[in-house]
Amino acid sequence: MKLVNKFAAWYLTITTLVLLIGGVIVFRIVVHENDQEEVRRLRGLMRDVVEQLSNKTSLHTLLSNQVSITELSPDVPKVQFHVRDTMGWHSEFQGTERQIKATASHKIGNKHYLISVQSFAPEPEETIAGVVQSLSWIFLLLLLVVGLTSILISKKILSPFNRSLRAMQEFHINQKERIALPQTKTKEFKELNEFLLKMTSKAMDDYRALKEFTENASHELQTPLAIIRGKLELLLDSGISDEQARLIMSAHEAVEKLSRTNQALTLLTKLENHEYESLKAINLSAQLHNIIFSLSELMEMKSISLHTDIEENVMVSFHPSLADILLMNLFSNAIRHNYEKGIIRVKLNNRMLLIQNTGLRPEIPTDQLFQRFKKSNQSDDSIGLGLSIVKRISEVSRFKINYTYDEPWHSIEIGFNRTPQT
Amino acid sequence: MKVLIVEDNRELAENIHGFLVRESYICEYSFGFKEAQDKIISHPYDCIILDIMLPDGNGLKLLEFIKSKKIESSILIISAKNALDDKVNGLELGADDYLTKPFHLPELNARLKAIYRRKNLGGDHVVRFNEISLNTATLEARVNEQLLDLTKKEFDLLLYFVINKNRVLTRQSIAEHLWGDYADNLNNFDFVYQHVKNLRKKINLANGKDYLGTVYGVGYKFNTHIE
Repeated sequence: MKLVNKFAAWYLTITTLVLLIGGVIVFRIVVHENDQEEVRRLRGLMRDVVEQLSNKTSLHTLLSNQVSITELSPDVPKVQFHVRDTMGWHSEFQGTERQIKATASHKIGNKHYLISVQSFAPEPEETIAGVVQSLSWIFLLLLLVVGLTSILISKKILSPFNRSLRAMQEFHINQKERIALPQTKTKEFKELNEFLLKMTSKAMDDYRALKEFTENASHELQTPLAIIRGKLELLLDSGISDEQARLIMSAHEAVEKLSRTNQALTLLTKLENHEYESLKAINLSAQLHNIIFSLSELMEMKSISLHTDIEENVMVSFHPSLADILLMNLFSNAIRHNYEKGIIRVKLNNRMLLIQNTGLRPEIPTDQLFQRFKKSNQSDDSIGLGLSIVKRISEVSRFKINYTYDEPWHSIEIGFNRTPQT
Repeated sequence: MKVLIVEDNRELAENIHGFLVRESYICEYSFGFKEAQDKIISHPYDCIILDIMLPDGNGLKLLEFIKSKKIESSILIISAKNALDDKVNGLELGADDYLTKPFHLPELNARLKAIYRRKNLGGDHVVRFNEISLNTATLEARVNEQLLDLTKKEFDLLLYFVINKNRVLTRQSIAEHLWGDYADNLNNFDFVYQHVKNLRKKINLANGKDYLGTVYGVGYKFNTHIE
């Protein structure tokens, strides 16, 4: 719901409530005032009647459909002036109508008269109808005015806010320039803009620092590793015994592993920094064929048979290097964790990529295998970052990834969200 | 062949130097941008091994400088930054090849030789050792003038051995040479063994000598000193 609409909705709710309560009050006051007026008039009429009775006017001439007089015994106590709401027959309308009847007894001379004066009064239903009608018009008017003003408010007062919002939506952490926010005179928006500017600048600085650190760490670690590696290789060539060569080789392998771990972690950091953003669509089918081609030898060596169901020219927006890493990781896993004479099944279409391979039951739940350094087989020589990288790449590229095991099939499915067609 | 190593890290430069002098290269170092610039202006080099990150400048700038002075040395970039940008920029600026640190020294040697062959031998793409000859243009390998039926990988492997003769080549180094980045993901080297075995068999069939020695638990060595 838009902010303006929210304001308008609240405003209208409150207006409705006020109008409802106001309606009741108006109705009450109108009815009350009407009745009071009527009572005042009846009182005057009664006074006239009493006066005329005192002037010995004949009782019969005074009687009308408004006035009725009864004689009471003089012993009866005096009846005080009181008003009653009754219904009376209206000859003109041929129906019963609401009547207000005032009654009192007066002792005039030695006679005691009970005098009732009455008049027709508007019924509350009629008043309600009037009140409801007028309030409805007011409500309609308000609705119109509020509707119009809310659009104007949205255009005018909220425009700096909306522009800031748009600027934030377009903000990208690895952009080079600071964000440009609209000028505004509203205090709150000014504060908001200052805050946004500060936060985005900080985020950009932090991001840059982190990126620099990653690059430096990678460089600073790779250099000593390269030195160690080089020295070990020189040592291997220096006419040593086989036993010494094997020792050197073990050291060399450890260095190698360290170097690979470092590279993988660096890649993960880069992925987390969203350094690989690509909106370009690549031909995933072609890339998949390439990977399969380069690994076919390995599959042959392990006598693994490959079943493919690859749709041609599947275009996916994907960073080409990431696509390569992802496919490579998935395939080398499918080969590595396969049996001799096992099977790999690959399916690719516009919606998803499915890679299945035969293999042993994993020792830990499949979803945990995505975590860093989690391996199904701890004695395995791999560094245990492959699937973390796969997962991170999927996240960065906004793909859904799912790993299931159904004896003996390991299945990794990658669902593409949005697949542009060629 | 005269080589200049531009690398700020002394140890690394010495490693490269130590390896290359055995190939009877004439090697010189420089540890910084300025020093390298001076050397490049005053001496001709066949090849310059160039690190991108230098304490007093960017290696890519030095590359631009070399190209602007029309100096004809071949250039091999070595950089820890495996950022795609560096590689693309470097090659666009006219570098001949690019190698990511850390690398295997035999790999560096093979790349240098390949660059040298491409540039300096005037169309002679044949690498020879005794009865073995390898034509790097046509990918034909001959033993005693008899054509060997080698796959592309086996050819590359044999070339790698011949270029790095009398060196211990670890299985990783071979794997990386043959499979490049793919080798990272493969942690068993059975396939290296398989290739070496096939290669040995094919050379034997052509009555070639068995130069390919095994260094147990380590890798292989192309021995020239066999009887």
